[in-house]
Amino acid sequence: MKDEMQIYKKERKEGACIKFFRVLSLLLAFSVFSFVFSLFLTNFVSAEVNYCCEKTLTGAWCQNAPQEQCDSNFKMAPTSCESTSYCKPGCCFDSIEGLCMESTPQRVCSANGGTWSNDSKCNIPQCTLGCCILADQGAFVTLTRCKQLAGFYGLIADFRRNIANEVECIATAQGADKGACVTYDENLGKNTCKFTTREQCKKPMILEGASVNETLAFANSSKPAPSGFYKGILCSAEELGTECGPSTKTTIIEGKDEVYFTDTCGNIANIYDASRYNDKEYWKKVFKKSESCGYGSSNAGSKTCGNCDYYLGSIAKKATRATGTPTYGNYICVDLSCKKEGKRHGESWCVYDTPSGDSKDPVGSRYFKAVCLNNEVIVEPCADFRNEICIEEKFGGFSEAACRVNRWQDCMQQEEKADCENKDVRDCKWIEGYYFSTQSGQIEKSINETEAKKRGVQQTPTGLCVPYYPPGFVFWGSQGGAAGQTGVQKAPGTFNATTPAFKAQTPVFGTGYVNPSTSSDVASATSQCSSGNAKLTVKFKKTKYPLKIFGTRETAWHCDESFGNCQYLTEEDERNANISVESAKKWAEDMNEICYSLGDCGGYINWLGVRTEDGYAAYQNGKRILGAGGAEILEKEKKTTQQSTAQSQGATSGVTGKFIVDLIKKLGGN
Amino acid sequence: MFKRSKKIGKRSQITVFVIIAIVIVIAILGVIFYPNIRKFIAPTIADFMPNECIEENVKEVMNETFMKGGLMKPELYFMYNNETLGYLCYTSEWYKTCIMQIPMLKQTIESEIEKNSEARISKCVDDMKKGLENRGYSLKVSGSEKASIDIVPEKVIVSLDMAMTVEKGDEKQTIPISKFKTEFKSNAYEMIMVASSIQNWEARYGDSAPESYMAFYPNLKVEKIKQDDGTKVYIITDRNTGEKLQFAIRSLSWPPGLAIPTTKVV
Repeated sequence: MKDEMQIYKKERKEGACIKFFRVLSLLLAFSVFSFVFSLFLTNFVSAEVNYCCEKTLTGAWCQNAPQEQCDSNFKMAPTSCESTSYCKPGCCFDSIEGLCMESTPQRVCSANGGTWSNDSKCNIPQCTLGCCILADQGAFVTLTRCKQLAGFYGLIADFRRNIANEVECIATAQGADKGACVTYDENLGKNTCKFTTREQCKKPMILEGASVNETLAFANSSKPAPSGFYKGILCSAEELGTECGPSTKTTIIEGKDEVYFTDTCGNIANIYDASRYNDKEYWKKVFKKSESCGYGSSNAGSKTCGNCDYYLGSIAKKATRATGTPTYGNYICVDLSCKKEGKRHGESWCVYDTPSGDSKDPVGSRYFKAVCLNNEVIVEPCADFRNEICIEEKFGGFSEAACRVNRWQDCMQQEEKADCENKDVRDCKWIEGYYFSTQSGQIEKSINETEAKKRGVQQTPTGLCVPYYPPGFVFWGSQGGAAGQTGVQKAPGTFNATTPAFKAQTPVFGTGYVNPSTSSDVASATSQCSSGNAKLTVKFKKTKYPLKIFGTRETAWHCDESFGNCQYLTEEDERNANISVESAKKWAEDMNEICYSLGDCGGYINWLGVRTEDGYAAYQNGKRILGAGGAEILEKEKKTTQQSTAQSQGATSGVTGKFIVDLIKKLGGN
Repeated sequence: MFKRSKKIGKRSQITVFVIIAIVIVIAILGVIFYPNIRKFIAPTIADFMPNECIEENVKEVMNETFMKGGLMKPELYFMYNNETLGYLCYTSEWYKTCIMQIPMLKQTIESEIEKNSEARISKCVDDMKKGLENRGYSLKVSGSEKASIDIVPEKVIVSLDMAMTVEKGDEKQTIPISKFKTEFKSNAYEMIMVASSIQNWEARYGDSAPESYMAFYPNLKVEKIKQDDGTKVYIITDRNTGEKLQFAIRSLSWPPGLAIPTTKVV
């Protein structure tokens, strides 16, 4: 922040600045949010790392890492880097450029020739920011930086400590007095003139405090007009009696948006307005931007008006055949919008490579933010593994988007619908009828109050809270994307992952299944997906039918509605008091839907639309009925088959499969 | 007889036109290539000056340095599009903001360019010396051929701390230090300052807002490309000059899923 925009600032109108800062503050808010959120999460981070390596084997300075990753030629201590003298982050002051670099270890700072101090946030006198006014431009920088900039441009450094923020600084710089600096040239026998600032003119101001008209009247009263600085007056004003007059030439100024007329001496005059070329008044005094032609619109492509505005979508550039030619001069306001996409300059919007949200994000999918700037669409991917999502809002037809943290982490802990769907706190979705049992560690059917009383058990949550934007996991065996091997995204739709999740991996485990022996990331995916394990229990009871004519009272099996899950059964299932394979499949499919809403789990499509069934397996009476299962599941299945003779029919399959375990219990009853 | 002479007249007319056309073409080519032709036929001492050679070589080295994040052979890097991008700010941990790795980027880049263009600049100077000696000049060199690089707003200055006296018969000419100064247009300074600002934002907040830079500097395009290990690749492009500065930063990264390791692969 301290260093924000430390270079000479571009002059901008106040409104534009406010808009910019609105955008900036929005972005900042997200940054701060994610930062705070991360700090919150940090509390849950276990202290696995316990060494401070002055340098790691990969060349990183001052990292907290396991001892074996420290370079033995450098210092190391079994503590956090914050607690060491050699790696404590501080402020590195660059006394040449006047820059203050935060979170720099002393060793790194000294090695680079900087001056180190203890405060990592750079709250030191050398880093105190102030307003550096250089001619009509302002920069909110350090004193040293101000002097350095002034030296570059051959200007006098005007550093004002009393100005406390950047907006005020720019406004102050913009408000610097500008006018005609008139000098009597003895050789020419007449006045010469330069349009500049009061400071640059270095001549006394004519009629301090007088209005422009009064100053002009004063200049007109004596021939030639006395030497001095004429605030708000152009060199082309006849009253000054200079050699400068109106011209049809125009120019552009570095750091400004508009096209300007120049006088015959090459001085900057007012904003280009073809209709006022013959207006003597327009060549006398300085007109503000707001008093110039087409104020409030971009004037893109206008042949007669050069009042361009970057924030409204135009900037002054050299005219070409494509831009059209202006009535006078060679410069024109160029349109900066992205016509092909139908977006205005500065607009940002979300881009998806697949359908998103509602717990249906495909594996490997990602959110992107696109921005239209200078006729170009720049695509910024949000964090991978759907750690970030893209949000978008429209303000008067102008869309603004941002990548923000996906708050899915505590969804599974929510037991109330209102808490689950509280959008201010988390991004979750409520699924009625099931809950996550902490006892069994799997998804079970909810037990309502009536049922709980009847069965003498505890009531359970009425629904299951799952991520609205399911997170992505590293599930393909080893941690993907180690430095130097990461996938490179070009643009939505052309994402080219060099370590793809769904391309040839041997063995291909598919969604949700991981090899837990690799990394903790992978182990996390395993445990996260195992929350999707489920068991189907149906209660059948024998019911006596009413007497048939000429018949006897008959009894038949029926699904116990009060116990639930009857929706999965057919009439035949009920008659036979058994779950058919088809019914079990139907249930398994429902469970799979819940499973893939937890993250990259279960059987689901990837971002290319290819479906894999490897991430889950459904069993009925020890026989796999759905899903290809992962290697571990298959291995277990093999063992189960071998042991099947030793097991009683209808008992648990014995498969502690990762996702779906099918179990039918005939509970019987009357 | 009459017909024949008419034919001959037409032919000669065509010949004259062809000759005129050839002369015009030669004249145009002569005007265009005059400096090169003159250099070849009658070179002056100024024609042997190494400035052009130095500019070309320093530009090459600078571009290469910029493509690698400021260091030609970064020890700590991220591989992106077959390019080793140096980390300017890095943490191997999850949920933590980065630790500055190259705090004084401008000076680092300057010294890196100095170091890596030293041999090339020496060759430029040697070529100059050989060229002059071949033309019969005797040379007296004072100072050092070591170049210093200054990246300043809108340009890059390459200064050689050397002066030279050139003698040939009665002709004696001193080439002052100022003549060994090469300047070329570049927006490197502005780009480095933006990169430094991004470093600070990343170190403090764990992220930065590229749009804000583009709003202030319409000539710059700032891209932030997040990688799957939490690294952010930044590419700053000058729309006018086409110069490109790219680097990597890893700060406030989140692991996939609910993993709670504190360290990535370091």
